[in-house]
This record gives sequence, structure tokens and C-alpha cells, in this order.
Amino acid sequence: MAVLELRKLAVTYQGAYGPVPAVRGVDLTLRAGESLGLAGESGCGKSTMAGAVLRLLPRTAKVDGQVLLDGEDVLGMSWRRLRAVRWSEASIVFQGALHALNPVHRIDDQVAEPILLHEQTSRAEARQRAGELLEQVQMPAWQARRYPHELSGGQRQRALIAMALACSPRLVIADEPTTALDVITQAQVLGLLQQLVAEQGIAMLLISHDLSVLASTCQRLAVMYAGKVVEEGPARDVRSDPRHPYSEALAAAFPTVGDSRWRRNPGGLGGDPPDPARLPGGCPFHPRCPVATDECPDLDVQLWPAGPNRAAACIHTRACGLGNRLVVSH
Amino acid sequence: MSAIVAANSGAATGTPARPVLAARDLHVAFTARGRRGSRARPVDGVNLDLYPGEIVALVGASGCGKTTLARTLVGLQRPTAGRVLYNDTPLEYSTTALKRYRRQVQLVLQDPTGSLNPRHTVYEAVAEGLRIHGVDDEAARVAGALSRAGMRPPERFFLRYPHQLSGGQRQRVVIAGALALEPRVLIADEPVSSLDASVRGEILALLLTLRDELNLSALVITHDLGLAWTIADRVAVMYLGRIVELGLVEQVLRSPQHPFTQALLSALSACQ
Amino acid sequence: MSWLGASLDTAASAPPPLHSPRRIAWARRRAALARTWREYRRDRGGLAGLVVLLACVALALAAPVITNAQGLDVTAATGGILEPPSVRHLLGTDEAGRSVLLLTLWGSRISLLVGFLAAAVSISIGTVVGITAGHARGWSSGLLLRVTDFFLVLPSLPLAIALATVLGHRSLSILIVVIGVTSWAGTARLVRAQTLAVEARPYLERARVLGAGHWQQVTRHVLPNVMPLVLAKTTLTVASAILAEATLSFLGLSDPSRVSWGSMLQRAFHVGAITYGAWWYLLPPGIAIGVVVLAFTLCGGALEAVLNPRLRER
Repeated sequence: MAVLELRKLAVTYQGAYGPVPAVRGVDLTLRAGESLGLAGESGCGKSTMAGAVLRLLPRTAKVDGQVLLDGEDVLGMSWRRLRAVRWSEASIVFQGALHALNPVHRIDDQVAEPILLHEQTSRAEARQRAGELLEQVQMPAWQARRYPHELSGGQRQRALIAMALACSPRLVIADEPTTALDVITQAQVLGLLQQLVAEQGIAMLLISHDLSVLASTCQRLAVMYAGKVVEEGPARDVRSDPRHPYSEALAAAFPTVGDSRWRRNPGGLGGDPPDPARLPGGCPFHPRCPVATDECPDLDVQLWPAGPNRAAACIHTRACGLGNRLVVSH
Repeated sequence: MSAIVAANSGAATGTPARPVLAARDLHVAFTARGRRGSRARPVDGVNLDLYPGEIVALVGASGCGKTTLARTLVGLQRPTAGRVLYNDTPLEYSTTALKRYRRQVQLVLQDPTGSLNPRHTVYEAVAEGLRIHGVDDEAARVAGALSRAGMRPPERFFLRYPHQLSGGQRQRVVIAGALALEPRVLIADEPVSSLDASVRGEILALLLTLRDELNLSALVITHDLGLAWTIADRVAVMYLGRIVELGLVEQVLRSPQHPFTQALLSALSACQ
Repeated sequence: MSWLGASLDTAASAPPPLHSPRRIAWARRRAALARTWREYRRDRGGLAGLVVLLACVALALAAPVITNAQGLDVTAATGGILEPPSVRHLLGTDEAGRSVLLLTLWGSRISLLVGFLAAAVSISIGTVVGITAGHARGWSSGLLLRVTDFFLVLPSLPLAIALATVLGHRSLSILIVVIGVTSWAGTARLVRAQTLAVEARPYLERARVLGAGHWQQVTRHVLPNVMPLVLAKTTLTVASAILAEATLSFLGLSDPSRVSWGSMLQRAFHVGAITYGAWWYLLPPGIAIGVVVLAFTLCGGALEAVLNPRLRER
């Protein structure tokens, strides 16, 4: 049974000028021990989706569809059950750790907090378990007694990972965990995530705008645009051989150093990612698409098969058939 | 002493010309207020040359002094030791000399949204530099700068406000504002890091075009080695206020010599 | 490359090309003014205040036209002493037989004039000091700040009384200066805070990079960002200046031959209107002051609401 299953998930916010559809029908499945990367830019709905899994969205947000956590629908849970489920079944690693950590509490106290909330242990025992968790993320005991502002960005992120693992969840969602970090720290944090998740058989959903990060850390990759998934497949394949023009543009923004294809050849798109309150009709990507045809503004795109275990929401892949490369000229 | 592992510090074209902008043993130190003896040294002995018509990428971790170095090269910050040379003449810090200098070397700041006064139209944002220096024929120059920055037809954008433009367009307007003064050197501090990923390419392509068409030299400051790989001719790696490696992009990024550069590249390849 | 042609502007109708920079600047100002007015209109209180104010100013300006100034002359009084309101004198008469209605109308001229001019003095001093304190670096800004704090802490009314007594209170301009000089500190603080906020923004750094000197930075970027707040504060300052004038006049520190609301109250008090029961002498100037101050306050509040969220969201 899947740890996480999203069925036709749709989230609509109440904007000042009308409803704003942030997520418009997403289907996703994640099993124990699997890692899925969710790629996309601002306004594509990825953070909203992460919030929807644990019902962390504002009250004015309307959530449709189903979010099945170990078979149970999160959206239908009672408040009591939801509180029990939060953190012990699924937890989140946030971004921007200085804001996610309480500046007036020490690190080990904060990591011990979820343990105290969910289990009947004494404070001393909780703190001891917190210390063990922090050691797992390579933070020695003396550092664990510090305050958040005394740690570096990478250390704070590791503390957040330890906090997420405190109650041995089955699912960990990491929302842009490495965006504010430099390359070396980023590699450390990602390596740590990968290792812990593999050791404990946890399902991981990693959200980022950096395709290269996702491709190296996750098994599967899904690319989101304007509230929908536009491509999914094995991570390395999606990165090196994208089947949707948007994935191609996103991959071009993070070129492999050393690959002469990208030397003095920056790929990119004009315009901005679309405003969810004002989405274009048909395929939402068509205003910026380098290979858009006349049918695209009216076409109702869905995920069509685009290779073994792959799908893409573009008529070109559907037309080209399975396994054919999308030809896009720069 | 800074251990510069220089591979080949010549112009990308091969024939060594005189550098248009250079830093000679530059030191910038800040004293923390109220704390005796504790000084921050964001720039700790930097030697850097920028030749005409080349793009040099200055890479390093955040907080290593790249922005301070950029501001010192542009004259916004006075060095505590060392010199900045423009066409082999040291930079003078009198008001008139600095104003003259501004027409030769321009700086594009990090956040395009913050860099533009939200109450000014695009026209006024680009014309600002021209008005400060009292250049006549303003309208034609503004149109020219916007065209060169890729906003065509320029008249269509004159009355727009920054919040009506896309992120990429805002950055183009900022670049057009710098180009209006017809500088020979453009220093860009993280020009694409606050833009959405799919939009970065258009600004990078613009920088390449400016180098090709106007023979503009550019010093691009970034933490992203991929950016250096994409558009730079040479790359300088900065660590704790010093340049630890300098050379052609193909050489430095394919076979790095300094351990810090090697660490950066191995971390990057782990993510690729 | 795809980006060259992708200038994705959503405006279907492009504005006609305006090459003249002056026309562009005026177009911008007009559009900004229209926007401000549209938002201001939404606030009912602000609208009501504005209507009341315009009516008061119109009446004050029209007073020499619609009434006869001779009615103010004590020797040419037409009515009896302290007569209650009647058909002939709608608001009764004062102790010299003059119509209270006439006095109130003419008194508004002085009160409003002093209010506006004193506010102008106060705002000017406050803005200049505030911007300088915010823009300058080093010891000068610290000095200005201490001076501002000094004036902020001094109790303004005793200071005004002392100054007016010493400098000679018969002159109207002295009164205006005194009120202005004792009330600029609040504006200065506000302006300095806003100046500091603006100075920290990247576009000011960009102006320096482009070569702007201090004057250019301040006039192009700081002042336009500071003026909206100053405008909102000005309306409130006028209100407090009118009150200050009324207070000083009431305390006898103005020219007795000049009619203002405060002096009316002072004379009424002096002749014992309260014990006499001559409410028609006390109420009109008091209500007039209250109404005008309230109107200014409503306008000021509405202006702040309009101008502040724009500053925040932009």
C-alpha cells in the first residue's frame, strides 16, 4: 500500500479578486522507501501541495480530492486524529531554517518537543532521544545545546531534519531544504537526507526549483507548472532527456558544468511563470512555449505516456509517440 | 599571502592587452562597532584583472566578500589598502572624479525589483543616469539603451511601471539604465539569482550579446558555477576574501587545482 | 533564441508614444493623482471631512463678499448687549452688540489662516530637519536628532505661552512662528524614520552607482517617498495648529482687536457669559473649532490609509 496517495488534489485560495486555483488536479503515488522530487518555480503550487498533505493551509483554502496517508484520507480526519498523525506519520522539513526555528529555545529542546507531544515520555528521556537524533545528523552534543542564531545555515537545516525524524514518520516532505545554502553545504544536507531516508525506509517528497538537486537525490521526478504535473518519470531521465518543453527550459537553467552543450549557450524562456489567478486557456504553458502550435491555446492537456514509466503533458510527445525525443531548437 | 593558482591570466582572445579594470592588492576591512580589535576582512588582498571584451565570473560562497569587492571596484567603498586601477590610472575618490568614473564602470545590483523606484516609469528609470550627468538627447539615448537591452520596440515600455513588467524585463530595464551611460565595464552582482529559473537564460544571453556587440567587459558575481560555465570566459574563485584560483573557465572548471575549487566542483557533481 | 521576441506585455492597447520626458512625467503624476483620488473616495469619513473643510474655506474666503465688515466695528454695533438668538441675529449678539454669527464667520478667517500658515512653518522645518537627519552620516545627524528630541520633550503649550509673551503677541506673524516652532519635532521624527527606510532601499544605492549626488538622491527618491506621509501629517498638524491658536487667544495672548474663535471664547469668558447663561456666545466658536478640527482629522486619517498601503505594497 502506498504511504502517500494524492487523487485529483485541487486547492483553491480565496484571493482579493476571486478564487485562485493553486493546485488543479494532481495524482501522485509514493511508496515506502521511495523518493520523489517535485520541481517547479514560483506559483506552480508545489508548496501548497506540501501544506495540503498535513492540512496546514489557511482556513480559506478549499481542498478537493483525496489525500491518502497510509490509506486514511487526511482531509476527512477528525482534529484529534490529525494531530496524532502530524509528525508521527508525516513530517515536513521547512526552508529558511532561521524562521522555522524558535530563536529563544535551544536546539535539543526544540527537537525534543514533538517527542514530548506525541509520546508519553519524561522530559529527560525526550531530550536524550533528541540528542541521539542530532548525532545522527552529525551534530555533537555540545552544539545541540546552542541557540539557532549561533549555528550556521547548514547546521540549522540539519537540526530541522532531525526534528522531522523525531517521531519516526513514514513520510518526510522536504520543502526547498537547500535553497539558501551554498553548494558544499547543500551536498552535505542532501547526502544526509538520502542516507537517513534509505536507512529507515521512509518515503520522501523533495520539493525544489533546482532540477539538478532533485535528479541526484530522488528516484523519480515530477515537474509542476501552473498547478498541474506536466512531466514525470525516472529522475535522471527527466533531467537529461526531458519530454516537455518546460522541463527542458528548467533543465537548461541548471546546466552540467563541463558539458560543452551549455558553453556560451544559455537556454531560457521569456515572460514569467503564470499568475495562478489569471491562467491562460488550454495548455497553460503555451504563451511561453518555443514549440507551441495553433491548437495549444484550446487543447485540454493531460499526462500522456512518453516512454517507459514516463508521462508528459504535451501534444508533441503524444504525436511523436513513445520514446521519441522532443526536438526543440535554441 | 594569497596563494593564487593561476592557470592563464590573459585575455580570452589570447593576445595580452592592458586590463581595463584592475584590483591591486586590495584590502577592505570593517571594524565591528564597540568591539575592540575584531575586524571583518571581506577583501583580504585581491589581485584581479579584467580585459576588454571579456566576461569574468567571480564565484564563491555567500559572505566571502564578493559584493564588497564589487562595491569597491565601482567606487562605492573605499579600500583600506591597495588600489583600484581603471585603464592603469588609480581611482580617485573626489566627487567629480567618481562621477566621471561612473560613466565608465557601472554596477547592476542583485534584486531587480528593489533596484527600481516603484514610482518611476521605465523611461524615468533609464533616464536617471543621463539626467544626473546632464546628457542631452535624452529620449533617443533612452530608446537606444532599451533596444540594446532587448526591449523592443522601446517606446512601448516608456510609460510602464516596474510592477507591470516581468522579472526578466525588470532586470533588462536595470541593465538598460546602466547601458545608457555607455560604460566600458559592467559589474553584475548576482544578476539572475532572484529571477525564476526558467527566466535566467534570457538575461545571461543578453550579457553575451552585449559582450559581442558592444565589446563590453563584464564581471559577473555569482555563487553558481553553472552560470560561470555558461557565459564566462575566465573564472576567479574567491574564498575568505582572497582569490584562490583564476583562469580560463574550461581549465578551472574541468581540472581545478585549489582544494576549495575542487571541493566546490565535487559537491556540484554530487548534485548532477 | 526565443527570448528576443518574447516581450510578453499583456496590455492590448499600447499608449501613444510620448517622447518628451516632461510629458511623461506629467502623465505619471496625473495617473498617480487619479489613483489616489479613487481610493480616497472610498473612505466616507474622509469624504465628509473634505466636504466640510471645503465649505469652511469657501465661507471664510467669501466672508468679505457676502457680509459687511463694518459689522465687526464695536462702535457700529447693531444689536443689544448679549441678546439671545432671534430672527435678526441668528446667533444672538455679543457684549458689544455685534452679531455672533458675523463674528464666527470672520473669526474663521483668522483661525484658518493661522492654522494653515503655522502648519506650513512646522511641516517645513520638520521635513528639512528630518530628511537631513536621516540622510546625513556622522555627527551631524546625531546632533539633529538630539535637537529634535529636545523640542519633542519640551511641553509645547508653556513654551508657546512664554515665547508669545516675550516676543510680543500682538503680531499675527509672531503667533504663527511661535506655533510653528513649538510643533515641528513630531514631523521631524516621522520624516527621519521614513528617510532611513527609503535610504536602505536598493534603488537609492543604484542612484549612487549612477553618480547621483546628495541633492539628486534626496529630491529624486527620498522626497517623493516622504511627501505622502508628510501630507497626511500636515492635515493633522493644521488641526492642532488651529487648536493651539484658539488656546493662545483664549489665554489672552493675541491682538484683542482681531476676531478669532479663540478670542471670542476669551471675551465670552471674560464678560461672564457662563454665569449670564449666554450659551449663544460660547457654543458657536467652540463648535466651529471642534467641527473644523474633526474634519481635518478625518481627512488626515483617510489620506494616511490611502497613502500608506501603497507605500507598503510597492
